[in-house]
Amino acid sequence: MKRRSKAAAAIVGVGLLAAPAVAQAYCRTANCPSHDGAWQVCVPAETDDCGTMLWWKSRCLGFTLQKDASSQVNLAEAEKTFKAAFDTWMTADCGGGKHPSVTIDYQGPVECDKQEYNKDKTKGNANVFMFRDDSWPYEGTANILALTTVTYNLDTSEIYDADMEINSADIKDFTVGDSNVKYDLLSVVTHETGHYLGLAHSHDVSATMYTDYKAMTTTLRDLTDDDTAAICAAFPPDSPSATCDDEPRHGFAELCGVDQTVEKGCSCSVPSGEGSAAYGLVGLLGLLGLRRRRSQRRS
Amino acid sequence: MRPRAIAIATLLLVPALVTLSPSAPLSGPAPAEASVSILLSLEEITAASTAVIVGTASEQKSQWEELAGGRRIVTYTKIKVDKTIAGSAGTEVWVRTLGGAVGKLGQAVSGEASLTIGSKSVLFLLKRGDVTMVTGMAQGHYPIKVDEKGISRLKASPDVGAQIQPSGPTIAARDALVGQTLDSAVTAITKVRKALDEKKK
Repeated sequence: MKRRSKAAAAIVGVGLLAAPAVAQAYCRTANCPSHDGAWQVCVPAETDDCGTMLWWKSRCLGFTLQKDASSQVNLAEAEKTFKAAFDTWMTADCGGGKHPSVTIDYQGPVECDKQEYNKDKTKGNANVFMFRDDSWPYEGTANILALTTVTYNLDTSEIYDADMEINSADIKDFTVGDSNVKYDLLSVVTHETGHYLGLAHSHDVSATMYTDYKAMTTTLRDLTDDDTAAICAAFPPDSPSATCDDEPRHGFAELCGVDQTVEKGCSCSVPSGEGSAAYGLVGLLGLLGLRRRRSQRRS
Repeated sequence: MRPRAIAIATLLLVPALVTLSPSAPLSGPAPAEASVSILLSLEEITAASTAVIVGTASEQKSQWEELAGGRRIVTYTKIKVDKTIAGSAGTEVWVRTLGGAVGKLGQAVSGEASLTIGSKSVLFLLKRGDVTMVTGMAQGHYPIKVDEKGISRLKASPDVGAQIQPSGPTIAARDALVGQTLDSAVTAITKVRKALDEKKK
């Protein structure tokens, strides 16, 4: 067994042992080679469970929002909604006044508007959540409200990147308030952020991670005991924090890979033919970008 | 009564209804991951498809591909067409789904059809240019399972995701097809296709 695989197995094992003693029906997304990718492992076990549960290496994770947000939901509303969704998971009551051992920082708005994972080590990444106002790029799927793509290592099952796309091109009825609710963005996002955190669908019909959502309700905003058991197992409160770095793999990048033209982490674009003066400006922009992100974390 | 309590009370009634439905024994476990989607009716998914087939997956390959301006892993699955229910798809067709595994990287895409080698399914397909996809992602994929009496019945795709019932009296394709025998499903789809064609005239 490789060292990384042992570490992954240890974390998964600790997670299972640390789960609170409540009625459970939750599942976690797993790396299953026989399904050519992702499957699930459930508690209690199901007959077709397969693979190793996906896991985040760091206990400090980050997410960003594409800066244009949506004509239906502006950036400020989207920031509030996504932060609230992650807060719900982070503040789950694991018993004894303890919470899941994970913090999820909002890393600010970004330029990048693509679902992507840059495997090239010279290019940074970001967990980008974006609205698709102009067009939904996946033909024949206009009925999809939100789509989450999780990229992970097949050897270790470590999650490298998670992006979320919201179909605001075809779905015109997203709402963020408590009245006149149609498709409640916070409900949808709380469910989807569960997937970001490595959870799969629960068998508990009342759970936020169950497979049905009733439109015109806000029922998925709150966690049930089953959701709490799942998140507390995925991020046990007393687990040692090996690392606490919310930098995405290969460094944080505000720009999509194709627009990143300098060293990793800077994420600045350079207009072609601008020469050395442009590179000086790039360095400055990089510092400004980093500063802004830090100020976002403090807020 | 709080909205959540009302919803839970409503949901508590669902298992009883599910137990009575023909799909109950075949509904299977929850999927590994999922998107949030609105359930399509049988009319909607048939109308949106260029072909509906019964087919068997025989070969699969994943690769990085440019899509929506970015690069993502997609999987092409070769489907041997056992029966064409509507439209035309030839004798075999390569179907593209999002996600898969390339090198040391895997990509899990919520709500996508999960086509496994050797599995037989009813597939609603949409062809655009040279690419054929599953209409409605997992909502257009119904694996066929032979029950204890030797009868082929349709199951829900394993990764259908979180689903929202459409408003009004519409019956979702899932509810119309899952648990049905293959023969009755073929009849139902054929009938819907004919009705759609009649409307066009």
